[in-house]
Amino acid sequence: MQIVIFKNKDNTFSILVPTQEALQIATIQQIAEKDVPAGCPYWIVDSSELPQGVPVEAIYIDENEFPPHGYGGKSNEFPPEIIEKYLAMKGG
Amino acid sequence: MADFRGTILTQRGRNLLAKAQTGATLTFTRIKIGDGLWSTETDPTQLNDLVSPKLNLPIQDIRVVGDGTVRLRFVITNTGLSQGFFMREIGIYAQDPDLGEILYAVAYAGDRADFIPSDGVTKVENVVDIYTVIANAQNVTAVISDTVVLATKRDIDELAQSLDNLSSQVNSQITSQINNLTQQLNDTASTLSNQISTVKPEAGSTAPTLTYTGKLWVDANDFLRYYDGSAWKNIKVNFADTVDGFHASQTPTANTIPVADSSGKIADGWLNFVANDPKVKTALNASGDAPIYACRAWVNFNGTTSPPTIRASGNVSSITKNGTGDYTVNFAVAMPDANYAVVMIHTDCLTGTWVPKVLTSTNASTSPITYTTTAIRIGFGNSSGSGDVNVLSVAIFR
Repeated sequence: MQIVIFKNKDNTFSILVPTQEALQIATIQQIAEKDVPAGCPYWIVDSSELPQGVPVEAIYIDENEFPPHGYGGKSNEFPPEIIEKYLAMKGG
Repeated sequence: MADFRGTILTQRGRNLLAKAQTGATLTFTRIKIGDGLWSTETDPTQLNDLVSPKLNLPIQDIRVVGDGTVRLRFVITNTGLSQGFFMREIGIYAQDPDLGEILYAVAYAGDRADFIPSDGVTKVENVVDIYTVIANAQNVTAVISDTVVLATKRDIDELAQSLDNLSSQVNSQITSQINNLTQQLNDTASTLSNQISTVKPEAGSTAPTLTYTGKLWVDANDFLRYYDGSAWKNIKVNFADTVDGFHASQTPTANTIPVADSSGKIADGWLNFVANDPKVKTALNASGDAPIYACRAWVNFNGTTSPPTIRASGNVSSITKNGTGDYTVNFAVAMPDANYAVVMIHTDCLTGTWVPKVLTSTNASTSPITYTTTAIRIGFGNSSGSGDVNVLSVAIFR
């Protein structure tokens, strides 16, 4: 399963897990752009790569060594076409 | 009857007859009768008119006899005659192309004349035929009057014979035509009868023995079927705008069946949505008068794993683990505003007893404090720290 790790403005890191229903209407990159705080760099990784038993506070990624896959978008909402797809899936 | 001894051509009559022999038309104009007494000196060939004319009589009929003579028919009547007279002389008048009307011929009865009484008790209507010479004249006519017509027995007999012949001919033709029409009608009726007998559906529990393509049959269940040349098939009816015979429409209309539009949806107008409709509340097991409100987003996840494990969700696009006991629930579709109610419950803290709360004030300057239309940030902890929880349920109501 793919997840998103992003770096906050206070240089801490967070782990973002997409829901299955969201993955039915959007890619993980689209979800990351929506849910990652604006301007924060993010990396898409496989969850199996995360070391178990390590708290999120211990996560660190060197941006210079591993260029981010993207940055959080300005909007915290999906584009209209994805929302329409989601509502149609829900019978709207 | 007066005894006239034949007609005598006048000199002018002879001259006109001579003209007629060379092609001029000989036209008789009228008859005159009179009571003139001829003396021994009277030369009838030199007469230009009767000695004593009494009546002008129109010619009723003319017939060329064929022996050089012509028969002129006129009627002697005393209608309007104020004074009777002896009919002694008859004058035949004709039209000369050069002289005008002339006395063509005369006849004289002398003392063998008849008396024509005045109009009164005695009525006189005599048909008289008088013959005169026309020799070989080819063009002989007469000015025929139709004011008085009296027919002889022979005329009537001839007319009757003509009528009989005509009647017989007409009857024969009509009978022939009627016979022809009758035969045509019989043929048409026979043809139609054959066609109807073969086209009309047969009814019965078993299929008709007479079969041909298109043959119709009403079976035991009253279904109309047709023979396609090899088997009996059910007739299908294509009603373009009906469903099972009922009118259908995409537009909400009384007494119609709704049909979906091109996208497969039925127009909203067909359904009457009412807030907190009792039927809806009953379907949701919501008894009583209190209204019902919907949960707009929810999620059940395990925050102790890395990454968090989402068990199930609704209208949630992702869960973010910001730190120990610190999560953000991101909505797939935004709330109408941020005044929604948050319901949270958790089980199984890894360490200690944590209090769930919506994070609104910690590290506001560096870490986003989220209580917005698109996400909510929640945390678990107490005065000594924070911790992850195993089963965390979050529901949003608005």
